[in-house]
Amino acid sequence: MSKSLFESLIYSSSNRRIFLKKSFLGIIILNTASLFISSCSDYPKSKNKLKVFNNKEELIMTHISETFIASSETGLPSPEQLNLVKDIDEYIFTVSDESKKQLKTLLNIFQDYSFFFNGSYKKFTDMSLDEKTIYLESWEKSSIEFRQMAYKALKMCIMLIYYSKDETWEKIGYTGPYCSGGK
Amino acid sequence: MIFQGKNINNDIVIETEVCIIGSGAGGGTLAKELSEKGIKVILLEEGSYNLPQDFNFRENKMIPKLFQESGGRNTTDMSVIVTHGKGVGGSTVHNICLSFRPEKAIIERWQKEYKVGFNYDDLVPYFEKVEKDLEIKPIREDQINLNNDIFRKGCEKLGLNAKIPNHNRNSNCAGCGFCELGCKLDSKNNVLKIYIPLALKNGAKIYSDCKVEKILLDGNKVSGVKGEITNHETKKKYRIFVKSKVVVSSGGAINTPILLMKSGISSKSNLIGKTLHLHPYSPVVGFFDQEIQGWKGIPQSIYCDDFADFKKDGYGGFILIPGFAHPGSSASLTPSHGKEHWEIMKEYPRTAAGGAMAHDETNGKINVNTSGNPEITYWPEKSDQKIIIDGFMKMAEIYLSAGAKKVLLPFTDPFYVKSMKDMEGLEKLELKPRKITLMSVHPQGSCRMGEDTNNSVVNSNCEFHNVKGLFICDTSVFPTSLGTPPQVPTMSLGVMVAEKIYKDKIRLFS
Repeated sequence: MSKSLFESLIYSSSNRRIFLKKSFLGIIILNTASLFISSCSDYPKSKNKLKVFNNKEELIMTHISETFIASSETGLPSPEQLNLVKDIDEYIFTVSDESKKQLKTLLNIFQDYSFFFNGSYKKFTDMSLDEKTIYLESWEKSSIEFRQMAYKALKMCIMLIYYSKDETWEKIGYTGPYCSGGK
Repeated sequence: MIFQGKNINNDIVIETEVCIIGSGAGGGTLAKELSEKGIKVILLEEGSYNLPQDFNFRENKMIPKLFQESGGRNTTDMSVIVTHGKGVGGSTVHNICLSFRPEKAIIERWQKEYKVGFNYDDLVPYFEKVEKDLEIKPIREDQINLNNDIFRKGCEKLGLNAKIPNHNRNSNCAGCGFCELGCKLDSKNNVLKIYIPLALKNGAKIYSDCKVEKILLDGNKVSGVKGEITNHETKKKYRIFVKSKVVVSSGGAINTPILLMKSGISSKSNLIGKTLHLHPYSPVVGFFDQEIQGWKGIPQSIYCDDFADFKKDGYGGFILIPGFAHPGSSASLTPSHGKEHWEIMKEYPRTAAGGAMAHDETNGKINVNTSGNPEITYWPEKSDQKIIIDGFMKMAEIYLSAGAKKVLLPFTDPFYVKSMKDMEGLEKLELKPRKITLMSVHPQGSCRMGEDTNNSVVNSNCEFHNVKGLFICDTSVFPTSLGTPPQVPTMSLGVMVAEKIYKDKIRLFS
């Protein structure tokens, strides 16, 4: 598999090991730069009252969720239809401030650094579903530790919250809570 | 009396004889035992105080309430998911009620290798007390659900011994299958139901929503703790200072070493946080034609310990045990995404799930990162990898024997097997981080006990070698991994530590 521009740079660097070890520092550096590329005000105002995500992060998270679920291919209810991002926001509100910051950083990188990771000139939210899927898989299969970690973290969070929603249960044949008071 | 954060509106300064940090299997039991002996106890709990009516069967609501870091805690490289409890009652609130005594060979190994000053027979009265208090008994035959029965059938076809474990559940249990989200029917005889009410009746004071920041020392003896209580209704935080001549850390094998490090407390052995064991569990899924609906019924009612080598000499092996999760947790562990993920999820009612839990020798590490949070480093060493692989292959063989059409192995890229032949060569595989799903629900061993000050953190009474009055009463002190679920051993430890503190009260409280 050919490596992205960014990964090639990482691999040609004699400091690769240090970079991997300090990958979170790498994230911070990249994210700081990302603030200059697109700010939150460039994104549509949210209809939700969110506790953690800003408008930009909400949109990115909605698109990432859609890519993970692929509702157009699976016939599952779409994350947008379920307003999944509001539930994800509620969940993320309960984690540590450190984890919140890391996730927000990750979302910004995911959106604004597609060129470096995948050679794409489009921002993540502007890609087609196929392009998004390829981009997401490039994170999953990447040899860079923090990209694999990011994929895993996003997936665990999105799948947990998506399949916690009643609207998905019938599709998978789950009968839900049946003890009294379960609803 | 219990003081919840939502009722606190001022800073608190208070004095007691024993201050316990953490209200789970170790701390909650200890609070009950000490208060019963007439000792003044204050119990501080980071999480909230929940009653059965607060448990609503919802994964997205209950996981943040009952698990540290909302269930999202992982090793630093995200190679192992590490779950442990939060809230009054700790992990006993969300566990599946498995109630095993430790194996005799494990305790003998502790004596031999770590000079632990008790033997198995010395512990028996503590086990018996806990078993009586919690009405521990085997599951009834009619309580075994299909997911467990399929596992049993597979074992029997292979000539393996499928056993019924002891549980601490009472007659209220309706087998609704939501044990891991807290029991709405109040059918778990756990710390929250049994020991906390008794501790309160005996005069213990409990502060929930209270995060301890530091254990305070006066020279080489402990003098108290300081922390913060959050009123989640007003969003205000208040300071709490507890003056106490005995402090017991019972925050579990992750939080105890973190608190010690943040408090600047070190050990001559330099082993605080350095000998972490995780009991890694690798989940396997069998696909069947029949409807199983594994989410219904008691999740873990059959197990097989035929491969638990540690029963013989304290080393190696694994136990096999079913374990079915509700959709959110299942989906988050299911490999892949999009259509491929959906192809697996749509078979959800026709799958059987279980896994192998390894008795590990790997020494993981815990450190505090710059934000004050745990940084957990753990990757199974080669010999433990072999145990993990042997374990999930055996689980796959059991499902195939039980009639599974195919079995999904615990790799993050979907890996199906339809016959034993498909697994040829796997035993030689080198596992890679994040390429296999590994979970830990029993972190332990991060501040081990022993009588050699160069090789342990606390003595056989669980008191620090070099700090008078500072005890640890949780899974941190186990010198090796147990190989079996730690609930009963940890509660028994609580009974034992209470007895040791009481017998030594003149020295400790003078």
